[in-house]
Amino acid sequence: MLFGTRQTRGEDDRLIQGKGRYVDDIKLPGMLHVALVRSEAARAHVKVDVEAARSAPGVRAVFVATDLPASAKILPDCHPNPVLRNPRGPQVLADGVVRYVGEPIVAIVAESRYLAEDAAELVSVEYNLLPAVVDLERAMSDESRRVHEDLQSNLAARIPVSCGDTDKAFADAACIVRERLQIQRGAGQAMETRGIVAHWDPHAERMVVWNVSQVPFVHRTAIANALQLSENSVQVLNPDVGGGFGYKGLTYVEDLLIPVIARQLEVPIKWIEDRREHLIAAYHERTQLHDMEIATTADGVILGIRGKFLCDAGAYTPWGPVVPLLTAVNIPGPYKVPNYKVECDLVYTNTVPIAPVRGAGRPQACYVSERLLDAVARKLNIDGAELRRRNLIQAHEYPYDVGFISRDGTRRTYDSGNVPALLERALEMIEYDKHKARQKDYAAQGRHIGIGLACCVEDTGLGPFEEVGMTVELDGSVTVRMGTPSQGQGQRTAFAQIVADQLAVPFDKIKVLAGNTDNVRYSIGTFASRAGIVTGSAVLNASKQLRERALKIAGTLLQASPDDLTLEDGGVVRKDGGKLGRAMSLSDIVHTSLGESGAPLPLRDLGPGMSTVASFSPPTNTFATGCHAALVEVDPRTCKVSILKYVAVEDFGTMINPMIVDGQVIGGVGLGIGNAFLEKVVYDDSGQILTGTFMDYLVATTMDVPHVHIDYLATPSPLNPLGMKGAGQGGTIPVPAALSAAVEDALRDYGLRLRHVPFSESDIFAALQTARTGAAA
Amino acid sequence: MSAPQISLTVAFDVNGKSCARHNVEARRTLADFLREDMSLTGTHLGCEHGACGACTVLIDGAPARSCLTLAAQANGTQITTVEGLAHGAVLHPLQRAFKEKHALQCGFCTPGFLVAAAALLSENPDPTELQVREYLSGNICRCTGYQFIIAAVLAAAAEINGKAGSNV
Amino acid sequence: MKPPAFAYAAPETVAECLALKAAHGEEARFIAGGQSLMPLLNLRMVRPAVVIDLGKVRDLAYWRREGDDIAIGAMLRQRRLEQDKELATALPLLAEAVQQIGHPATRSRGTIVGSLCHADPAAELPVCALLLKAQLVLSSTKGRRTMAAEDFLTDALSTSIKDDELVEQVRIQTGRKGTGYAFMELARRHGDFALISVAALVAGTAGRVAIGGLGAAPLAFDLQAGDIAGEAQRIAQSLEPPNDLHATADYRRALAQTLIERALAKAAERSKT
Ligand code: FES
Ligand code: FES
Repeated sequence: MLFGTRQTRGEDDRLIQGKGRYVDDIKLPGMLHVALVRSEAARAHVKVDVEAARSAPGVRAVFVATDLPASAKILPDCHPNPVLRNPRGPQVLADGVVRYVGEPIVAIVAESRYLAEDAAELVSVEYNLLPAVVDLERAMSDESRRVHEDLQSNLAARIPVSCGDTDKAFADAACIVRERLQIQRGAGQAMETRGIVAHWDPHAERMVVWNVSQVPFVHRTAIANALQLSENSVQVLNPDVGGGFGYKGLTYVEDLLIPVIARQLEVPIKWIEDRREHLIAAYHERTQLHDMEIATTADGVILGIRGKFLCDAGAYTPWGPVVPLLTAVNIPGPYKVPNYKVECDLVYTNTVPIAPVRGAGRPQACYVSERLLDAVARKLNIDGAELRRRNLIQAHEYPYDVGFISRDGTRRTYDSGNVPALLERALEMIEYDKHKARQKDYAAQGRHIGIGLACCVEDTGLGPFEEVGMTVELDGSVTVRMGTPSQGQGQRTAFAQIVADQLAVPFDKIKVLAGNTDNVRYSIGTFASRAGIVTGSAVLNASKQLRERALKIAGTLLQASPDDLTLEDGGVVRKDGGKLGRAMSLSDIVHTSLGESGAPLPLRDLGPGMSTVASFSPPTNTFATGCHAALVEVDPRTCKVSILKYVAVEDFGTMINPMIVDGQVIGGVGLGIGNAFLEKVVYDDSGQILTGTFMDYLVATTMDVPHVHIDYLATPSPLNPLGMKGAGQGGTIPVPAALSAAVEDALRDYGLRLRHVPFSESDIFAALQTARTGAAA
Repeated sequence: MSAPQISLTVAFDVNGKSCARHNVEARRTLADFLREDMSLTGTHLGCEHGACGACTVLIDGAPARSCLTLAAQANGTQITTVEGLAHGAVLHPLQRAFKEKHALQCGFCTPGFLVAAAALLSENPDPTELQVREYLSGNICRCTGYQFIIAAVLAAAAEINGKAGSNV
Repeated sequence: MKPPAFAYAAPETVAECLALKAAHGEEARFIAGGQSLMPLLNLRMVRPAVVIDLGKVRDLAYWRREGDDIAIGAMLRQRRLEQDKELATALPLLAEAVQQIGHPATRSRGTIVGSLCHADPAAELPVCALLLKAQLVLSSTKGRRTMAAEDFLTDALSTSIKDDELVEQVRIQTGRKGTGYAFMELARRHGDFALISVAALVAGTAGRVAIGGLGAAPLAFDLQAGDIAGEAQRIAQSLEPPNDLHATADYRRALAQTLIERALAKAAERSKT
């Protein structure tokens, strides 16, 4: 059995030798290069003069908004949602007005990127500046400043989620705590930026596009519509992709622009986003401001949670209201919250649009609920672990009806889980009781050491389906074709493990092909921790079909009952170990059933060969859960935080390859640490972005991410045949909450309160001063 | 005296082979030169401002960011890229350890880490975990959280030392 | 992010460098390790007409003893402070500070003199140079002058260097017996520019600190009293550090106080061994 075991990756051999092929490595004859002129103003009417650029050395074409066909002027809303009252799609090239710094205005096409950038500097853009909308609260209160002048206000969507009777719960409560909690802007920042190579193939009459998409089929449709072609005239290919983290699962204006240019010029066109463009113009996430309150009994049992929050949409809504919706449904988390009411306003500002980044609204939700619980624990003087024990959904209470409708339109029901066990395991691994008992001794030694806890749920494995094609080749090797591309998750390895078990074929005889829209008929894509579950289950279904078929064909040929047969070592054997009339490998089966050229098909009832297409559709999403614990030490003078130990206990259901899952968890924690301490996109009051380089937008390094101690406790999901739950984001979600709690605990004697992430040393210092003056007042 | 030139001839050794190119623009970075002119696309560009380490190569044995080096500056030097780490079909112990320890996911940062780690092990064949972390702190990986990269470097060091030991 | 076009020259003698610089003046930039200049070029934040590479000049990558000083040539890479034991012993403060500069791949290209000339307000080496009253040797076709670090470092990214000059050498006093040195800083991440950095030396009852991360040129103070905590507070109170993305002025002032105190204490301890 390879399923469930550590298996090194087939992907790696090329990558460790520098033989990967990423989009920037693709070179086509005659290829031209694009550089974009981007807005330097957050809000302005613009006039553009491109004459000097047109005649610059090496320039072959210059595109402005009016050069684009009507079908490719505005990015379509790829995820329409009725709560989005006022959707506004990004302009492919800004047409007279710009709404954020970094918005593309002009595309220069030249013989090299160097020359394209030279010419871009010659474009003159006249900005007639308008006051920018940057501050979220002001965006809602000051209706005179509107991002979209045709709208009445900056409200893009209002999202209500509720269950029970919160008024009554709060009226009955013995303890009520209110908090204003803020999460600031962050970004995905994969090490490979975005990039596109587009090429009109006049022989096939097809637009061939290589890009870094997590959702190539979505992009195929969007490109086909923009070019007014049928989908069968567009092929989207994904070479090796250098990390996705959600934002490569979205559609951007360049995804349409570059194919449009390639179609018009009939030359291969390459655009590689540089890091600066990526920082200032690729979608961000996370900015939310929550005013929330929690009501409990005197024992700390939750009666209700209610409140409002604002979510910063940025200037457009390319991905609908998914992020705040996910926050709104995830705040109750793994806790019993009988009465719940939250309302979110999604607000336009003159900043980069937001869209899901690894975690996608859930780190915010986890931060809100866990910070509220920590505040209750403090107020009621109940130990934080004990308070959580009292409120967690117990193992026997699953499946658990949360009480409201979820993101996918179904009643939100946690299919399975046992978070109390995760909590206990995390407490044991972090040595909670020992460190709690010693906190006084540490203090006496002048050491400030604290522990933080956070539990979370993650809705994973969303529908509607994935499809997989599978063929046993004449030599007995297996080809798997699928629609969900990899951005580094090791799907080729994981899915081959499933196939190897079912078809008894050696791991290295299985080839998994992804990243080509010609591979399968339909697909949704790789995001929301879904590929492992949905595509993985489709792989299982396809392998089972081929397995059955192999036994059926073998049974016919050997005049044995298929029930007596099984597959072993790439061939058919008798289950009882008895001898077969003749040896029969998978290769023999394929050969025989395909017949001879020109002759009638030998097994007319069974049809030719060993090939199938199968799909899987989950009834609804499943729920992964986790509990993280952090032990930190803080120097109260410099405010430097050191993580002494970090523990992650996860329930991802059954796992195909625990080594790969470990990698997902640790990488997720790395991003979470950035979200807690380092990663912050900053705009000034005029909408200028101040974090345009990796010297200002800080991501965690080897010195920031500690060794992560991991354990798993599995409650298999009943919603898919393998019992899997997604593992892509669980590592990230609880980290900001757990680290905030740990730092507060370390400096509890100073009365430290942290109400926003990320927080820097300087922020801790400011919070300490607030605590000091608060105590003095 | 050498007059300033807009383009020039550059000549150096790459992975043990000497190469020369004429009419190279003075402003061309070593990274672009290797990737585009030499088709050595294993060297990656993650930031182009010296902040990620994806473009790390060895210049005369010392690690350098090829995005912060002009091709012209490298004239007359010996350059090693990720493509030059293996000896023919025999992978560098670091390459094997990276696979064995799952030190890569998307693989985009991997060439930079491998080259930097190779420089570390040639300077300090028996580093501590902290020394590995410090040495690699200029290389960013967004996928792995670094833990298995550190483990792989330590494992490769152990392998190299074990072999050296057995030869003595 | 590709550099704008420029012409490039790789002279082999200092005299040629100076002649080129004299001919092109402010239009020309020297490139040594390039670790400061190249990011600016890639971001097109500077656009020199001519780039003069010091890398091919014979005899600039030296260090040698000159009396009580170590003389360091313009092409000596920062990593030499880590790898050359004799140099590290001679310059204990710089050897400690160099660990905080960027990363091995930047230190193996970046030069000591280059960092002084770039004069980033948060860089480590200018702070050390100021503390140790380093002397810079500036050459041009017209001659040569020597200038103290204090006069050389005028502001953030600004020095007293003239358009036709090259900093050919820096001279730094060797570590003295009975004097203790310490370098401390706090950065958001290891290898980043410091929020505040402090270099300190203590010899008997005398002491001196230099502070970087102030948004302008680093500042140095000679101690007026023996009470370290009091002195740290006095000095920190006089600072006017910047408010920026990464830290507030108040935090930086408080951090400076802590680091001055700690660096002086460590230097004092080291002065006794
Ligand atoms: S690409 Fe050179 S350091 Fe990032
Ligand atoms: S493996 Fe993806 S960035 Fe390191």
